[in-house]
Amino acid sequence: MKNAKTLLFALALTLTAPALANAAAAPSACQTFSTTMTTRIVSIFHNTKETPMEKRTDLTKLFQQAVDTNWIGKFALGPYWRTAPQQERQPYLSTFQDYLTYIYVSKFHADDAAKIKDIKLLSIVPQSGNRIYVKSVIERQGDGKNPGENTQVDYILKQSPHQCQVHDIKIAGVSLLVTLRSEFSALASSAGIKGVIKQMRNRLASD
Amino acid sequence: MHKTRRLLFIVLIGAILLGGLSRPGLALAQDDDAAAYGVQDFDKRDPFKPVNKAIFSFNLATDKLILRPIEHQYSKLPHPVRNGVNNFLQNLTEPLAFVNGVLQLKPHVAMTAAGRFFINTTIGFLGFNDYAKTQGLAYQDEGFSKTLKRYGAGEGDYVVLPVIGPSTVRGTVGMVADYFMDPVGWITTTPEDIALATTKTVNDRDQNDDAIDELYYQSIAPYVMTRAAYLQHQAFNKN
Repeated sequence: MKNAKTLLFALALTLTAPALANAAAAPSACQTFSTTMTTRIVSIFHNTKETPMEKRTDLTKLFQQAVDTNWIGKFALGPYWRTAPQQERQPYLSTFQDYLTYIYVSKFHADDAAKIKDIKLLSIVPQSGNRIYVKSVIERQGDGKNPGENTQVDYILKQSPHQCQVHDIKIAGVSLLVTLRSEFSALASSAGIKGVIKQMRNRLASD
Repeated sequence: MHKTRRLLFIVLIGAILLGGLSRPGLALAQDDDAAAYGVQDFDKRDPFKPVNKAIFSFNLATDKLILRPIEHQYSKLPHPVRNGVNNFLQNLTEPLAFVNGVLQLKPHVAMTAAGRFFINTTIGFLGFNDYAKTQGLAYQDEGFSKTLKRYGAGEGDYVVLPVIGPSTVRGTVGMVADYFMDPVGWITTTPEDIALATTKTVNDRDQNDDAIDELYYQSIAPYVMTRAAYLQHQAFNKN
């Protein structure tokens, strides 16, 4: 709750998280994917030739590759997904991807990205269901007098036969997945899937 | 006045002792995947929901009409000035942290608070400069809520407080107790209390600007999202 700029760090780690799993000898699909992602994200952050807008575009592409937005979207609706009419499912997932990407990528500020000093991996623990729990700390640069702020960011990765993708991000204990599920299922219960889509579109249109 | 304060304090302590804070563990959602990802039914932690929602709406309107515009003006001040104000307000909480450190039987907490207060009030120009931090004495967010936790009191149900925002029963009791126990409050006059409370409110809004904007104005279901985020963060701090 302290500082929503941590979302930026989450974004950074979201895109590098698969690399952390890779470090623990994750399967090869995850390994290739994560190495490519890590290289690209670091190069975006350190690229002095690209404008902030170009960097944002690159980050958007990376985010949508690294994060399983379709799965998260379905999970967020919980039981309402199972009962959702077929014709509402695709518009929902499509809008959800834009919405989630917007939430994260809109936080990107080049100045803040430059302040990320290090991402320290604390542990990688395989879980049931091909899930991998990654615990890490993002360290920011200090101002000379004071040490930089540390933020704990954890990830749940999911290994599928062909790739490794992010299923959840926890910033200082606040889970993206749990929060979205609470938020979306509450709205779906009162306004239905159409209401959820409408709210997301309103949110996207408001900026 | 003092009798009233004492009575309120006793009632609050009584509420804790009678077990008002303790509730059974949170039930996980029924489907397996939800449980695996830690999904919780936050409604079970929110028995005061109708009242909480009404206060939340009030807070949202207050923020939109008053606090947010003031904070936007305040945020135009140079960062060192705002940082100095934050340090000054933090320094005023050190005597209370000392008291709670003693109550928790944690001498290092009490001594750190005392050391920070002495160093920052003198070398740190009345606390505007957090010099103690550079000497390895980091700020400790200590209050009576943590003292209650130390002695086994549970977090309790979710509560939304006017202007202040999300809290829990234990957090609310702790805050009221802090008000009575704070040594700074014993020596300040009412106008000074009001000035400090106003400054603190604006400073808190400024310090949490991004998070509040995210929860209040960018969410598609602000009440639910604020509650979920707050309760998860409290659980994280507990561990």
